[in-house]
Amino acid sequence: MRVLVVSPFLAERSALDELLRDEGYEVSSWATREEGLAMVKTNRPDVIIADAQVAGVDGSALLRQLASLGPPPHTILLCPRSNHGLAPPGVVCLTKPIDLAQLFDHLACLTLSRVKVA
Amino acid sequence: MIAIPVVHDVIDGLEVFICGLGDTGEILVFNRPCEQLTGLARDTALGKNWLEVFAIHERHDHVLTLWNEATTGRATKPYEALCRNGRSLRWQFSRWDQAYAPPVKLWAVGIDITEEREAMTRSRELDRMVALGNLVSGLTHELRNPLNGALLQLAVAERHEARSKAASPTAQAIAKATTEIRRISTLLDDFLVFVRPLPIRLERVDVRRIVERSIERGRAKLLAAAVTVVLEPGDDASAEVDASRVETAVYHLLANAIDAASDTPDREVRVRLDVVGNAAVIEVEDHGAGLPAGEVPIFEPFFTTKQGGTGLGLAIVERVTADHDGEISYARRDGATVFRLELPIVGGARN
Repeated sequence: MRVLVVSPFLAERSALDELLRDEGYEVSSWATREEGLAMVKTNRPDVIIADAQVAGVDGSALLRQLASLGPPPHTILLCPRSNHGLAPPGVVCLTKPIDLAQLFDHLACLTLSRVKVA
Repeated sequence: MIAIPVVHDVIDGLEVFICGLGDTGEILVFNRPCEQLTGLARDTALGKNWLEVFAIHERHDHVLTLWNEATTGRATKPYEALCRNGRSLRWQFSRWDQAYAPPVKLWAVGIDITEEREAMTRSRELDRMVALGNLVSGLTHELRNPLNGALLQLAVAERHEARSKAASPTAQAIAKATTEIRRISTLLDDFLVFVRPLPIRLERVDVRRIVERSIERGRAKLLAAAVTVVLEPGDDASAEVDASRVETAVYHLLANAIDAASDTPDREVRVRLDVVGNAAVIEVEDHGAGLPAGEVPIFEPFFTTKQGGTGLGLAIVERVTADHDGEISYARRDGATVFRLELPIVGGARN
């Protein structure tokens, strides 16, 4: 499964890159939304893990742009504040500092659902 | 010519301070409110200079300038001064050129603005608190980004270590650093609840349900401390409260009780819900060591008796209680520590 990480925070981005690779995912990671979107066009990732700052407050800005590029990948937002479930449908929000186990669980579920569809 | 006693008859009943002043500022007319304010009898005050009576702590040249302006018939700015008994007064001076006995040249008319000033100070303080709250809230959110980065990097380091060898000192250091960063994160969460300047949102809710949710939230802590919590059967209450805040408050009471109970043989926390008059009463009880004796500021932010406590739990409880116009108290009863949270069922919360 292809995972795209987009975060302006180097420590966050590089660690996620390594941890996800370690879990067996195919990862590419970028600092800005523009780079991330360019990657979506060429590489069609299955999942985007994006910092809320690059995705717009509730991820809606990123979602709009993703929607214009075809069927959007699953989106997981990393939020610096708990948004009490105010995320747009189809978006999972994890409050920072994130629970890694929870993130891996989400990805595992997505992998399973993908297998089922295929 | 109007005689002074007649003037006094008229002005004594007014709720303003009125002095008639002669050429050099000597007091010629002094109404009853002035007597009450200064504690000086009229006979004592007459003949004294107004400045000595009403402007003892102030610069006199400023008042003299105002008097000169008033004497020329110009409208003068109000003059605000602190009276000797701590009241704040706002005075207005105006010329008087009617024939009088004795010859009054100026009227000094004052009103008490102490409450007005206090209200203004309070409102400024409130504004500052809200601004500070927003600032702190912004800061705590910003801090989550580097915290997340640091924790993820530690997770990477942990994996590297796990691959090389088991139980190395580095692995222990990583585990400790991770715990510390998690603690900062908890502190931020607590602090955010404490400073959050959001208005309170009242809705009619089942208080037992709130208590159950608080217990649910403490589940991980209960398991870790091997403590059980017993929610006693009692009254059901539906009350107009801010459910999420009350849940947080009860959670913090529980968390404290769990910590205390973890050192006891029974390892038990009891929670009761009762209705007393217009109050929903939630009691949280443990058989731990209790609070230190004497006057301890347990509801003050950052006061803690626990190793690793943030000192914000009870401060949050106190804040939530005050926001609901409720009451929080604690007592030792038969070897138990009981925290009692009372929330008005209707008509709570001051906004």
